[in-house]
Amino acid sequence: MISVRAASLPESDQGSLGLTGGVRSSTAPPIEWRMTILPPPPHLQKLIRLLVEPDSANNLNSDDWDLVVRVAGRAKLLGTLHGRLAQAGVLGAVPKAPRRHLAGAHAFYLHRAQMARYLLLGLTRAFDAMPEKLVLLKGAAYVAQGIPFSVGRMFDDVDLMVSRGVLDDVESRLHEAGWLSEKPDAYDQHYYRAWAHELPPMRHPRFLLQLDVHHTILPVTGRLRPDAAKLMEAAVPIPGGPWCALSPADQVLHVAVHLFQDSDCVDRFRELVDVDALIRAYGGRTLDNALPNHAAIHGLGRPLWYALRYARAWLGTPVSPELALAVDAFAPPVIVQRTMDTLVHRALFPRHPDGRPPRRSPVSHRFLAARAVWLRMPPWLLAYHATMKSLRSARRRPAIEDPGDRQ
Amino acid sequence: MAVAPAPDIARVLREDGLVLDLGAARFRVRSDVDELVAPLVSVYGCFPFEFSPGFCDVTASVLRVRGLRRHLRPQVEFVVDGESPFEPFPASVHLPLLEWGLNFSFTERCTHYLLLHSGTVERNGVGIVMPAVPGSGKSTLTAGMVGSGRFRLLSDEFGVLSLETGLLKPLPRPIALKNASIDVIRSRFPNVALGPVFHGTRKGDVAHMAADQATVAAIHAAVRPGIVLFPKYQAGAALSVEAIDPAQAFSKLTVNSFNYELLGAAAFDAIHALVRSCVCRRLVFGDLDQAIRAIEMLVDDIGAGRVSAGE
Repeated sequence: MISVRAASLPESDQGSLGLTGGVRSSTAPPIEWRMTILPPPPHLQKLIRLLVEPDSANNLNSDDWDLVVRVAGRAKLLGTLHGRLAQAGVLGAVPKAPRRHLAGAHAFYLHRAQMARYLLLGLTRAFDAMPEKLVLLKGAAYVAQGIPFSVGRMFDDVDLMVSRGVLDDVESRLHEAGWLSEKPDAYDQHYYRAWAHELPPMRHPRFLLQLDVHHTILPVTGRLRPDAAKLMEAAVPIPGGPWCALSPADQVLHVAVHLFQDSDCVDRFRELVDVDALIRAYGGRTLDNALPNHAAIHGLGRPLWYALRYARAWLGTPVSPELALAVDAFAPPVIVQRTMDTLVHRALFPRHPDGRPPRRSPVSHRFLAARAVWLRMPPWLLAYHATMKSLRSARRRPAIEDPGDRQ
Repeated sequence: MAVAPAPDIARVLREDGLVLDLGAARFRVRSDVDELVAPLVSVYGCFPFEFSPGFCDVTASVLRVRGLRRHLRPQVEFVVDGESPFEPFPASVHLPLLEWGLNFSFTERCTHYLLLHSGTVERNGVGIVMPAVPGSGKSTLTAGMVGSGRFRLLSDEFGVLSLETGLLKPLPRPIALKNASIDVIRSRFPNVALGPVFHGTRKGDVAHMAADQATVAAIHAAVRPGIVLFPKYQAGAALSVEAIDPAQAFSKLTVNSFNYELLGAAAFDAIHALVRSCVCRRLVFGDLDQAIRAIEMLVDDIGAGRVSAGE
């Protein structure tokens, strides 16, 4: 109902990422959206400001909070927002009614984090006396590392990465410990093992969360093939347990590729919030050096370029001139930039909560979905996979669902 | 507080939405279904209709499904914050869809309360929590107690327990009566306001019993819980009221709660405090009037000091 087209495109730039111009540090004045890229849609602007400038909580009225809570809920950022406001000491500025919603989301996070720690405790026994590195990814890693920015951050499963060489050993240990594959279907099993970057997801009756075991961070059939061995080698131990986390630069790269290489970007604004948070948490000379280096080693410069471009444009992520210059080397051609600017802007942000669910996915989303599949697998494999899937689903067409089943 | 005159309600529903302060939560309701206006007024008539802006805990709509099919088989869908959590319903089932949707959204969004799946009422300052599984006669019993005029409705569906105060918050939304219960209540209490009967919904026939003026006047008066009562309707059964061990009541309540696991230690403490401070009973009944009298006597016994928690 509310138009997301907030401003027209300003005058053209020189095709650069825009990272090199107007670079800001974390002490810079409040973010201003005046890039060559459209600003975030109006219904997100107050939420974004709260995330990166929590003090702005003092300036909101109860109408603002109504929208902020609903938008944050849609974007799965309500718990994150609680964490940011609490750490800045401004929760007290939030009126009581919306504050209770923030507290509810925080309780949800605490429960998830507890379940993740409980699961990791269970895994510790299963992996007893394994010399190889066990690397936690994303949500589980942030929890185990105790990174402040991740307090309140929603996550659904625990992601673990091991070397491909020990994958069989890891899997048999997990089976022994009672973990069962979520995809018993033979073709699905084959799909994951031959072409994915992870084992089929696993569940255990004692643990709430799902476990995904990866051997690299992108599908092995994709256009970009990061060097998994080097990722493992650079991984750093997390004190107080058998676990490691990816190196800071690789954590940023992982989020960037997940968002801009292996997804359609639709409704994934919170992953851009992760990019911003990681850079703010780790930022400094070390990261400025490591990030372009690692991106070059693993061939992940392009997704990193996108991640920094949009994080800076929409979240005011502080990017040093040196880092900006180095990453600009990975920029795509201007026409691709322009196209991606438009498509990502349309897809990434959650819709206005007063809108209706679209009956059909918009053209921009379908372009991005097609792009994600194109980047994930070569055409011959796509054709084979699509044929297999449709043959199989035709063979066992399920009964038509009772429309009232879900209430 | 701005109150919309009746003819404007259809317009308010289409535009900014009607704000209903239901005690434990504020709801903003929108709809483009004009047929919904009359039933909505009949079951929420005693609530102050606001169209003020400001924070609402739930903002939800019941909207016509667009597309060519609307001419053949019109449907309505429930939309909350841009999502449709259910499949569309036939257009004639608008009010039941709204009610189910609001219940669902309340449990999804108001998780800062400990939420029990219970009928809750109050008499003489004693809050009564009646946790039950569907089909145990919870709604009928609640409706009967309220219809008798001797109990105040807090909610027919939720025990809303504040973790900060340990008090029960009222949420006196319309009581959803199903099938035979509709006539049971109508014949016993001809004075209660029942909305229209919706035939052939997924749960059979449904009619909603409206909260009265006195109930609505007290929507912000929280109540200290005094009785935890597990009701069970059995056709032809003789009335029995038995004490139930607090430990057993505790474990039954944890299973009955919508968000016990999620709230962790806070929920454990809240339910522990609840069973410690309440008289815990199991009620089996075959006759509604007998059951209501028995509960009334239990409240009187507590008031007179003849029964206290832990006995």
